[in-house]
Amino acid sequence: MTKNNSGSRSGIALPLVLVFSICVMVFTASLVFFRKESKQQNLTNVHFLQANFLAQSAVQMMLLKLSAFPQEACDAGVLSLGYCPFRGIIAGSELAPVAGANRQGLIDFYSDCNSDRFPWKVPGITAANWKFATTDFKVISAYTNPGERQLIISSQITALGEANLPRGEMGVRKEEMIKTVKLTREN
Amino acid sequence: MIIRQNAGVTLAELMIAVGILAFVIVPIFGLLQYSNRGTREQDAEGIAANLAKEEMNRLMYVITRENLLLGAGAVHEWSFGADYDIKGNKFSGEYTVYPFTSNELAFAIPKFIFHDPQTCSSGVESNPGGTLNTPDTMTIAEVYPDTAGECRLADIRLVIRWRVATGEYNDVNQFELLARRAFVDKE
Repeated sequence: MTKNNSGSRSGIALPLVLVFSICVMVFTASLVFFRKESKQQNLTNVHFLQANFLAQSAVQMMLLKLSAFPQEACDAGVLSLGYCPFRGIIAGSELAPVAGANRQGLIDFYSDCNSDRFPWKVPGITAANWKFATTDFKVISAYTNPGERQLIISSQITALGEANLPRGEMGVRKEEMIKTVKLTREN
Repeated sequence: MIIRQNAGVTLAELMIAVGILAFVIVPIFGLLQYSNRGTREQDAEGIAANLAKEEMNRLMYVITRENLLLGAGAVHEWSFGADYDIKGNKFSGEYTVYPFTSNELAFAIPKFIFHDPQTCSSGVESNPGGTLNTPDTMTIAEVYPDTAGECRLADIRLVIRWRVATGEYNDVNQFELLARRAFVDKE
């Protein structure tokens, strides 16, 4: 006597369909989740670009000011270390600030390179959403070239861009940028 | 002797299974379609961000002052042309330049009262506390009187729009970048 096992398949269709449906639902949910992630990534990318170009704008303003007032920048830089701008600095010497060194000259120099002091010319924008500023300017090395009678200073501009992207409720994104420049003062 | 047991899948069970399948699959297909369209849009947005970066870099660092300022204040098409096609998506961009006059660019410059350099022997500024006077203000036009009419700073607004093959340009699929460019004389 042979008995087939069709009896064990009793009620198999429903569980099969339910398992299949659950699998498809999980797959779809993961697709939707990854799509949201991708959208967020794109928004973050755009937000970064906006803040980054604002920081570059601050660097540009500072470069313009440095090109127009190189002597004042050099004097402020040397004074920030406490040195006399007319004395030579031996190449390679340690540039530790001396006691009583005054950074105020540097602060006076860079603190107006921002979008508050020079507002955007672009009409129709919300200025609070597009801000940039030079946040620091410091001397990292200096030496005197006696042959050319020049004081040569390497300095760092630190700039900050702040973009507020209402789209996607991303809030304020801040990007900092540091640029090193060489300044020359004819003595 | 073979005994058959046909108690496997009844018609009623089959109908319920098909019903459940239809109930689950139909909305899932809708979700898949939605997700697919979203993925295409995200792809386009990512490309738009890259194109925007390229174009803004060109406007900031590549294009000459004369070409950038040509028709300042008017809207110009970006360098990729209208309806630039990538993977079936269309991209359009436009930029506007807003120049500053040299008279508008009044910068604060620190004023120094250094000690007499003839008496300097140590190389250290001997009057650091009293070295700074109230900052002065000077315009770029005063710094460069011969070329006071030249523009040395300009704001740039770049707007990017995109659409997928089956869509239209709209207010959602767009973003803008702002930047400020300085024109520094290279010496």
